Amino acid sequence: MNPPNIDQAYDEAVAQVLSSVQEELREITAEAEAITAGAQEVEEKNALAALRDRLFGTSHE
Amino acid sequence: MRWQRYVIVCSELPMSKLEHMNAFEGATPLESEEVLASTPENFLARKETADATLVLGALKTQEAIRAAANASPEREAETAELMNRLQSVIQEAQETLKKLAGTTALSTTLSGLASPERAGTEEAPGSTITADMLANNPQLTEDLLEGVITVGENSNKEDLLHHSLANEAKELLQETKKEKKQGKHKLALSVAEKVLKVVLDANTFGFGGAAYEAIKECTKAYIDHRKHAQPQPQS
Repeated sequence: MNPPNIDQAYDEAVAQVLSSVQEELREITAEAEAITAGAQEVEEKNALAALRDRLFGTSHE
Repeated sequence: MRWQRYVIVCSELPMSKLEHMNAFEGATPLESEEVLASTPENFLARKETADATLVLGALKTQEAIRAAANASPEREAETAELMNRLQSVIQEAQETLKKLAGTTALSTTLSGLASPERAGTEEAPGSTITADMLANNPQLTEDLLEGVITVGENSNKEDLLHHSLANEAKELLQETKKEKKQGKHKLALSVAEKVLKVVLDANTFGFGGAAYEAIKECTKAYIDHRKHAQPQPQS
């Protein structure tokens, strides 16, 4: 049996750890981006509502 | 302010690379080359690349969380939780990478040690290790101690000799870190001599051969632990 290659074992182990880290970071980033997107959506809706009010709100009343 | 703390934590991440470079500042080229002769020449570069990949990923995610916190201050609890998760992922990964690097450094160093009859011959000129070499290479010394701790702790629980050596390495690691904090680029010879004894004992106890298993176990432990650490989906 060939002796295990420690160098190769190190590279594989590091690749596994980094891949697991990247997967978790992607999840965290996606959650953060969802919060940002949610806030932007609210902001856009508010801006649209404000515009609608300015354009039509008073004339409709 | 809570954000400041997080920014400081993440801005400290690249330090391992800087510390590594500082550690070699006081060493003469010959001494560094001699010690590193037994390790694959690109090992240090691969180790630094792994650290840098981790830091880069952390910084990008941190940026996304900060953007979320700025966009949605009312959801501070959620963004703080995300930052805590980020911190935990990175710290644990850094610890694991440190263990992997230490175990690899230990294994390659021990396998590079020649048998007494070959040491110092033309065939194996750099195959001895001395306290002076360790004193001049604080980072390598720390890596070797990390390796002894990882392999020793991974050993069978009944193996008291291995565990006792790991404990000795832990105490020495504290000493080397203390010296580094004091800004010393060289370790005290008395500390390096104790480290040398631990490394040679590790060689006698077969730590070099056990390193392969320790690397696999260490990686598995990290991945298993992270799986359990992830928040469960809410029903």
